[in-house]
Amino acid sequence: MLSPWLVGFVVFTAYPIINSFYWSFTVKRYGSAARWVGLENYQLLFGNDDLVKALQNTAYLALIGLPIRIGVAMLCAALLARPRRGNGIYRLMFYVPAVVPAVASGALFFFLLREGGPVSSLFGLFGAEAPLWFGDPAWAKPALIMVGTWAIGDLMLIFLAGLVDIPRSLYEAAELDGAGRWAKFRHVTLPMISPVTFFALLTGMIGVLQSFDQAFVFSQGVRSGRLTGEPQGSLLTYAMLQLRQFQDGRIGFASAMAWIMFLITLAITIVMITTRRRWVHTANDGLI
Amino acid sequence: MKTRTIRLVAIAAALAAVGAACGGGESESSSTTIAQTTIPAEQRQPATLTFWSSFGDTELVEAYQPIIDKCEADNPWLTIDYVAKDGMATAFAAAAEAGDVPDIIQADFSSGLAKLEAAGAVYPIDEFASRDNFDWNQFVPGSVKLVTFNGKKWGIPLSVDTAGLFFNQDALDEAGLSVPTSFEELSAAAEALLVQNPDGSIERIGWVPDVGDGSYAVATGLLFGAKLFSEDGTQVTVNTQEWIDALNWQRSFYEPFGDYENFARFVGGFGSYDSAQNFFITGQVPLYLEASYFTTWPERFGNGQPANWGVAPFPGPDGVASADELAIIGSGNAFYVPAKATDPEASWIAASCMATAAQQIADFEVVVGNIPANKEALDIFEQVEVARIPAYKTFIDLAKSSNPVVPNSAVIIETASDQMTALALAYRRGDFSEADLPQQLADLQARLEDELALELGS
Repeated sequence: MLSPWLVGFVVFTAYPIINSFYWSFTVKRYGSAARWVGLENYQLLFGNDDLVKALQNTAYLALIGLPIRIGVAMLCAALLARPRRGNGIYRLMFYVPAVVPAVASGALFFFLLREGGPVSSLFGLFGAEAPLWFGDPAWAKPALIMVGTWAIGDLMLIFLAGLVDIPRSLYEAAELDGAGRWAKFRHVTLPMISPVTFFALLTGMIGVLQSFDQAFVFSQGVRSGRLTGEPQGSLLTYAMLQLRQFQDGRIGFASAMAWIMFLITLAITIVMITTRRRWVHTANDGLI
Repeated sequence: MKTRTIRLVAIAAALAAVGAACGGGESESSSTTIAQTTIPAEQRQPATLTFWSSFGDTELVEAYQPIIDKCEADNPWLTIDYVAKDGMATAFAAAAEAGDVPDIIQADFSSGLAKLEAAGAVYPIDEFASRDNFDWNQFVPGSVKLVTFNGKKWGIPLSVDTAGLFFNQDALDEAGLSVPTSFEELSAAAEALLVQNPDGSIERIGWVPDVGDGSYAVATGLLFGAKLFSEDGTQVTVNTQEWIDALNWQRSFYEPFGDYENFARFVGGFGSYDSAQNFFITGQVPLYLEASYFTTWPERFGNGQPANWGVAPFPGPDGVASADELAIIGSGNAFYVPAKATDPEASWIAASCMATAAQQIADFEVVVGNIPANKEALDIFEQVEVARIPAYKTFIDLAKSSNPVVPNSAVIIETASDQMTALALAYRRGDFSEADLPQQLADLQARLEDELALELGS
């Protein structure tokens, strides 16, 4: 029963992983033999300003963008968890953006936010100037966060499931103890959905570290001569990896980057898992 | 027993995968030894060659067919299968890695020759050319430069892209200006054509070195003799006075137009590049440095707008110069023989035939809009196209230049280009001062040298 999966795993997952690990110690180009260079790719990367900048940009998305995304998803779920007429429609409306492909949503926001676009015109109605979303690296990252926050449907759905699962009796008990709305949220809702929050944080963090498609769409706009942005200024680690691998065919260098990113991801994941007991409430204490 | 078998199979597969991985794609270098003389056509076995072309539009595929027909008629033993490929560089990289390459490729690999050489991906064709007394003088010099790297020729030219200054004659007339023939005139024209709204926002700029695509920082550097690498691609050359001059000129150009944000808002408002909203077509930028393909755009996208336009050689930093001295040949299509082609000899014959089918190439390029590299084809093309679109004359003269500027090639050319673009934009934006520019270039030089040394193993 397992063998087809096992073969698939070996061929399509294990082999590329092992290969990329080997290649990270080599200079390798498409179609040619790999040349062993030991740790040189890694040494070069540790002093690489581009990588530092890319990591800073990625960290920005993780530390600012991810909490915003989770917070908004939680808020929407809380609003939609209350029984009301037309709830299904609202839920559908919030969920639909999540099924839009990332590239399409990137192109959509590019159209909306570009200079002279609808958002810019809206600012103009109030006599204000819209930020240079794509012309200024400082604004490119908030633009990416906006796109990410727009598509919170999947997260919202998970939070919604978590919220409707909270027994009413807990809120009733809290009310008997004199808890107000904030106290109920702080001491009942948050702990009860903490496993969902943990899941969202963990998968969201991994997702952010792999961010590429929407940033790529924004940068392509720059390349096609439509604006003056600076893709390097908002370069993300995964985008840098892709550029080095496919533009210059530097497979060894890109593989070393991939492994650095993997180690960072692993370290963050380990920290999150080991600290979860302090804040994640589980009924059976420790299954996750 | 069954479980054990599965486990063993899995372990064997994993070991095989690890073994293959550690082999790292050990590719055999091309060991083809060319025959001392060509085999007479009547003695040849029939051969079917797979030909990858970057022209995928139905109209272009149909326009290309007569070139194939001619070469199949000249070589009855030969059949050429045309396969249109999008994203040729990636497709070829994947094919090379898999060891399953086509027999001939037509693509624009001009700035990527160093990478092809480093990967051993295409066949240097000098030996074939020498043996067959192939006449390189039948091509314009710039096109031969574009297929030459490290003293070897890696392809046979098909077409070249030259860059010229597109000008909106009506805008110039309105401002009482003539076509700029020096950098000073160009800067003066840019300012004279400036139209600003009462709030200071820009409505029109005469000319800008960078209309959004930051790579113009690198392209305009060529005008100052500033290149990213030495000719052989082994030395980084970004810490030079030429780059300081080029970057200072680019930055100073923007000073009359307000701060960076003001300019960025203007350019950020441009419509889609390949549409009627193109900034040259709308008149937002009446002077524009672009390649010959753009010649067809006022008609194709602008529905005849601007009505009155032309093309002139782009002026140089030292003032007026002839087209011959200032031609920039930025890129060009050529035919390449992949190193692992089944029959490199047959590939060479087919590629050299397709590159020299003058009449058919001329007919094809009339459809595409590129400038033919073959001189005979160029003469035919000139007769047809200049009568139809006079602006082509400038590009044809530029293409004929005896000593044009071509971009150089290196294994990290895109990395270097990206980083120089970022530096140029940061400088223009005012992220660092003129006094800091030499240090910024020195730092970039050091970074790129480290990366290049690693890739080259030096």
